[in-house]
Amino acid sequence: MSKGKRAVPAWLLGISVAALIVGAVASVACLYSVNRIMEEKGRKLTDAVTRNTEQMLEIMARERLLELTVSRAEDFEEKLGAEAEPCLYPVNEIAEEVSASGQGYAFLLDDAGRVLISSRTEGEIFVCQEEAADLRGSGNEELAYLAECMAAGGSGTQKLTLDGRDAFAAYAPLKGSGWSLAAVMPVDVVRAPAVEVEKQLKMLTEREVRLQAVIFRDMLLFWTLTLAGTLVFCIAGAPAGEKPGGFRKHAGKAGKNMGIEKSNDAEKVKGIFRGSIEAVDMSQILESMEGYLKEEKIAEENRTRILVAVDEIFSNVCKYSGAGEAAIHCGISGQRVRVLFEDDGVPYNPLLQPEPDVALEAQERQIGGLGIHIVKKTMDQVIYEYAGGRNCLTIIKEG
Amino acid sequence: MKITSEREGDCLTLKLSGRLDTSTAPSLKEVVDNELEDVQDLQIDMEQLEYVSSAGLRVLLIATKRMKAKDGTMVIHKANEGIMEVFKITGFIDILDVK
Repeated sequence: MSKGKRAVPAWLLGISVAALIVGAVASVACLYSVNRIMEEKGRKLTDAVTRNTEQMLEIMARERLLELTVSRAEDFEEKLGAEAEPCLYPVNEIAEEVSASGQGYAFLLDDAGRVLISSRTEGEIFVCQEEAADLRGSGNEELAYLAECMAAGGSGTQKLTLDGRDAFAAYAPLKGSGWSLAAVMPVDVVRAPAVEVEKQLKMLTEREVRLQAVIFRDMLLFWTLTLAGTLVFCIAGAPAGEKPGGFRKHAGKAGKNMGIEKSNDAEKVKGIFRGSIEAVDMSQILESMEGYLKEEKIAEENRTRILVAVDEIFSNVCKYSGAGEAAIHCGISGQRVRVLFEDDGVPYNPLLQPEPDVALEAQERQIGGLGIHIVKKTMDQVIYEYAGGRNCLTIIKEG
Repeated sequence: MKITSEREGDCLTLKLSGRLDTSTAPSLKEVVDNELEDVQDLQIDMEQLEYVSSAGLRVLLIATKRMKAKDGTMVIHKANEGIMEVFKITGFIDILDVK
């Protein structure tokens, strides 16, 4: 027989299920939001770092290019003084210095805007064997402007498009010759390190987002398992065959309402007693109970067991509970009998009373504790609950 | 509960009918307290008794202790199945002389 474990209230089960669902939905939503936020933050950070790196690289490249061009122009002036002929050597040398990858180049322009020497053999800037054109009249306006500045004997840097490719150009005059030296470096070569930085940052961001997703997934799994475990524990902890509700539904109600308002559909419920402890007449209660059990054709052996149980439980309530009011209700479904005892006395769970030693000799025997022992042995379930300021003890005898 | 007593020498026979529970046990206790003085042989007939609760057991325990104290006997007869079940559950089957 059951020792009458405490039943799990319906509201607790409801809250557990609701918490499980809300927790799962909230976790998924949170995971989605965090991923979105992380991705957005990562993208903004990557863009900002890449943009700043590019700007820094461009400034450094332009300065370096100008410094190199001015320095080479001075060297060239010395050589020019000795040979008085433009030569390819310094132009090729500066071209090599501009870019180790060979993508940079250099050229020499006279004061009529014509290319005298170029390290390139094709494209917009190369030396024509025939008469070279005046670059100041070039259809490429940026190139025409550069040629204008160079022919005028100025020095500086300029960003322009040459042969369809963005580039930086730095130029410086060769004093006394009317010529001007220019060095050109493609922008994408300058920006290459920034592109690499951007690539690395994107990888880091993606890794971070994946890591966050794993952490949230594991948290979600943890909470789901925890809640599911609690739920299973609650369900497993409920006594077999005893559904939440029924007699206990009224237990939390305030006031002096101690009756059974609701019961299982197939169960007939009758109030056996309700009132002051002082008004209790045990004989009358037992007769009333016996009458109802007979009326519902409960088998005789169970009838006497139930009557003994009622006598044991309710006599204890009257003697020891200190209650002002008490109630007994009996619900019958077929041959299944449930009896609920309620009182507003001090909280007391009789099921926690130590088991009596039933093997002692007559002279050593004490009578205390035998009553609840008989009840526990003869009933199929005994359930105690303290709720709404009342002791609620339910006994169940299956048919 | 109704108690019918028959005395024959130092033998007292008590015939119980109805219920031996919280509300009726005091009347049996009264008999045990007042009528066992010269009794050496106590016979309790439970043929008409419906059931016994722990309050009834308490009185039966007092009676059997008293009889044993004076080397008397106490025998219970014709207890029904429900009463026997209570005797077994509580270990009274070993304390009382049940026939």
